[in-house]
Amino acid sequence: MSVGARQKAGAVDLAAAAWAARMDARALTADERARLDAWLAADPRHLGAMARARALLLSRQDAVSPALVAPDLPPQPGPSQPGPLHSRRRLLAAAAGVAGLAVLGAGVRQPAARQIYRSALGEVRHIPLEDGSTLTLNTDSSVTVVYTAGRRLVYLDRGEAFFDVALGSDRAFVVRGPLAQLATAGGACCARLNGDGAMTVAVLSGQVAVEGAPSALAETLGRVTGRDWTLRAGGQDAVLVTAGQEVSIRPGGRGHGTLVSFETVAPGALDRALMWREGRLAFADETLAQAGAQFARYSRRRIVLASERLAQRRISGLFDATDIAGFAHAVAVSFSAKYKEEGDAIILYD
Amino acid sequence: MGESPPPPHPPPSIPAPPHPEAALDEEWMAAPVPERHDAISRPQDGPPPAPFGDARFGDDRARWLAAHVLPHEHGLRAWLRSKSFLGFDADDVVQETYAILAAKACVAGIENPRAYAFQTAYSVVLRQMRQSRVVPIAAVADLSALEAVVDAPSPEEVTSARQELRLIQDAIADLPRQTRRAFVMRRVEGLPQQEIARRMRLSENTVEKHIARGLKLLVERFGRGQRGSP
Repeated sequence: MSVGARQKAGAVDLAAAAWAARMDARALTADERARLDAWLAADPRHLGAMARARALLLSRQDAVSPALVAPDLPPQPGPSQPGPLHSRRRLLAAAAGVAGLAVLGAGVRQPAARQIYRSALGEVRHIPLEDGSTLTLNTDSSVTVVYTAGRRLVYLDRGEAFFDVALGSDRAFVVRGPLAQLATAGGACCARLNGDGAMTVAVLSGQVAVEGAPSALAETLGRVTGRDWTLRAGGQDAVLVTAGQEVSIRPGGRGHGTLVSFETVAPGALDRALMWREGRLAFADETLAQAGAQFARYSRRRIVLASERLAQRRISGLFDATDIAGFAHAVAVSFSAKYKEEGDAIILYD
Repeated sequence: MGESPPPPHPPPSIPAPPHPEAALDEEWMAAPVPERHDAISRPQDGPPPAPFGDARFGDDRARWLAAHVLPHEHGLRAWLRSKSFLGFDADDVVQETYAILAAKACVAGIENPRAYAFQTAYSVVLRQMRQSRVVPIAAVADLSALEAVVDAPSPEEVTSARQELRLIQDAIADLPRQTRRAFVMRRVEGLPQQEIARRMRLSENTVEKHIARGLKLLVERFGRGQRGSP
């Protein structure tokens, strides 16, 4: 990177291991101390490698994993931990006892609760779901979550959402759009409804089956019976999408979606595209026109590129998704363009 | 541990010089020191570094790192790798992160070490990005957006970290017999090197070489994901 004579991290690690083993064996001689001090002073990474090597040496074999064996997964309903469900049940029971609402109480809990989540323009929302999965809503998006005993169903009503699906459930996790739906047992994927009605599904980890959305009849049957009729009926034209792949489905056929593209995404490109989860937009050698279109999703304001020369200029960098004006200013400075605002339009011109 | 049957003839100890790594060790230890770049002002607290009295090399700090940071290193590296298109070296960042955690005066107040380690790494990345103008224009927002990442290890992370540990255990099992034995005595049974030397009837020097060899395997492999994956 910067300093020419710098050792590679791997060499630093090996030197640190040798020092750690010696310090573990015996007290260092004065000469060794002086050499170690000089080595440590030479580069801040040396101290870090040293601390890590000593930690690895002192950690017991099995002590390296305990925090991983019991991560903070959704709380198991233990005896000492009442949990929200229990308390709600207790509340209902109390209410029933007082007002004789037992029947109503049962009725309220029985059908699948529909929960709608929306995000405003420019907003990114992280939403934990009851099974330990999380969903992240991109700007101007909306989903409806319907969890039943048989499946975890999420309707993608508008916009884009990222799903980090908890493993270890026998209920399929289904994300349903107007044209297509995806189903997975666990993994991470992103689904997006584009302006032209197409749906794009990108998979970050795990396996995801993508297939046509159920017909209105199947949808109704499903709602009435609580069983999923589509997964069986439409199974034959499902495609399996795995990590690093992306599919797009466009309107076509008899009201059903048609698979129009199935591609492997370049390493890194997917992570870049998903930076929106942290409220950022990342570009790697993209045109200003493309970048401007991305920013337009997060704001009522627009970047207008007055010349083709500007529109085709390429940029890389990481930007705050909601700071369209800051981005435009940075671009103006970098490409010696002029900047002016007219209403919601930010105009860059030569 | 009462087994130490006296061998019929002198124990097959490794003679000191032929150890192939010995020369290299000295070379590394005496590696020419590049000019200092003081991105991190190390002696944050008090007088100039006294490496052998201060917290940085105390067993307490090493144990704290072992218990609270090592378990999350795998996740930290995976997370850094996912950001590496920004042009930094994840290994460098991890080393600098450990340096900052080791140099802290006190770690008792850190409630969520995982989050703290991630945040520290993130600040290292930010500083590197600001220093090296690899990206022409990089408007980097504040640290708050990090929260989504650091809450808890994901199930995938847990699974792959476990797989990795198994691979490391396999690698340790594949070490030469004496190296493995010494290393296991040190790390699993917690015996001091002197005691290991006594039990194995080896010189303390030789035991140190065995320990160093095992530890090198560990520092190279640990947290770095499975071999062969890009």
